[in-house]
Amino acid sequence: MSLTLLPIYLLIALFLLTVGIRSVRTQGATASSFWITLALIVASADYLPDAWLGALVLALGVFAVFNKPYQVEAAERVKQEHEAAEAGLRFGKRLLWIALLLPVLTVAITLLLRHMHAAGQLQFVLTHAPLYALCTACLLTILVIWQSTRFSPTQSVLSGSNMARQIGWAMLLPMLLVVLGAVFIKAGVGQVLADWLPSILDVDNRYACVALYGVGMAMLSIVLGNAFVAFPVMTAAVAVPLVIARHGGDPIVTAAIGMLSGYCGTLMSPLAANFNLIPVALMNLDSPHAVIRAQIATAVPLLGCNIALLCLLVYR
Amino acid sequence: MTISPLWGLALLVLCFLLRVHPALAVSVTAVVTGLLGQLDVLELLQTIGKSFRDSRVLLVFVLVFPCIAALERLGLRDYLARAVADSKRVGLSSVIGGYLFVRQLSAALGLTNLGGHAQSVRPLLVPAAQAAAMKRFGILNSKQDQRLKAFCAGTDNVALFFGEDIFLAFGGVLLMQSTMAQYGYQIDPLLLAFWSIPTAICAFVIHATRVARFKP
Repeated sequence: MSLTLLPIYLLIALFLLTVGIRSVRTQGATASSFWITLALIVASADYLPDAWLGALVLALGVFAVFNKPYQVEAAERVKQEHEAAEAGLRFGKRLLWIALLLPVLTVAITLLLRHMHAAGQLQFVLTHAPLYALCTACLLTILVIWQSTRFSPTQSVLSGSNMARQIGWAMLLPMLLVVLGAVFIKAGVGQVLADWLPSILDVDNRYACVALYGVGMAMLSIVLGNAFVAFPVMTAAVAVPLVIARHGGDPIVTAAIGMLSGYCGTLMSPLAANFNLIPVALMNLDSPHAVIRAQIATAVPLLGCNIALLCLLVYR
Repeated sequence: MTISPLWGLALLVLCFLLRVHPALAVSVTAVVTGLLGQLDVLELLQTIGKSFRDSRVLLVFVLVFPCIAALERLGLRDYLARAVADSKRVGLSSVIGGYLFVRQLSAALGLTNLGGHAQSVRPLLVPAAQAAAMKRFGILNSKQDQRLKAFCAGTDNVALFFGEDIFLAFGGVLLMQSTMAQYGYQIDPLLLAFWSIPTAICAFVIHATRVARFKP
């Protein structure tokens, strides 16, 4: 038997559709059109021509502007917190076990799927194993919650949809950043950068080159919100032509520590939705930069360590 | 005359400074950079569509929401806060520091799904840390509470980023390998993972020091 990602996409789309339908009443048609469009293109992307899909994604980027993150009304929230405190006394430790069940099941199912893949019983792309596992584990956990506490799957999904609405448009940003990265690469930004750099930097100094790569990875990751997007660009612009080809640096060390320098930038990027914006929404923080502020004092010294490591190890 | 697509980067920074909505800023920058890079409109839309199609699986984390939201409604946070408040041994730095250690180690073993902002920071780490902080500092005011939550979220990020790179099958390792292969450098993922270890140690030492000194 062979598996594709389609069931996962359909499940995600179904959930987003629920979110969209739920938000019509509280947030109006513009906000819910964001969720519903997102749900539809997640489900149907495999069947749409590339250009149509691209146009819809851009439209979604505009819809996102009108999707204000949603908060449950104060009175309702107080009521929910009160109920939760009571239920917490009743169910106690059982809740902790269920919370730990989710990751444990995910890992167990991943291992099981890998085993079935190796034995040839199931065909799928091996790196997708954790995705199927996460989906299955979520569904099973919802059932376990139902069985042990009588909190029904419908109630679970509806509560979960409030969590999604709390995040709002930030949900789209990680994909938009991947899109931006793809456009950057297609537009040849790395090459342009490579042609331009020798005019502003002493490219004969091998330590200057490797430091530029580390700092550049961090800076570009801040601007683009994602070290994975910055990596191909900076590698084409600095690592390959200057550090490796010109000065004979070790490509493995350059790539490994260069990427980690980029992560220091991601810790400081206001666009890094998954890491810096979604927690702000999930935990009701006032400032969109609260998480970044908590991370700077780790990111800056660590970037210094990375640059030092690059200088020490690349030209061993 | 052609304008360099590098101006796309400047545009993105400018949008940020002018507080343009991030989703709009990124979309506009993608279009402008593509056009400056001499892509025609059809080619640009195709690039956008194709990369969205391959990346939409990033949304998979929303499937966790129903489980976590249900557990919260059932009082998971209250239970944890009580358990930490009742315990004599558990302090603030051991809660956050222990989380840092377990999360970074498990990410290094490839178990990145074991945690996350929705899965573990909001329902587990934050209530435990709040209860531990209150034992030492009394009731937290809103500003202290926000600082504590942000610090918890930051700890998860640091642990994840500098742990997962040590794991061989991680997407970042595969990206490095395939990018370098384009330039003719064949790279052994085992060595890539090995050279990530010094930074992982530095990250742990730096952040653990901050955890030990952290006051909300």
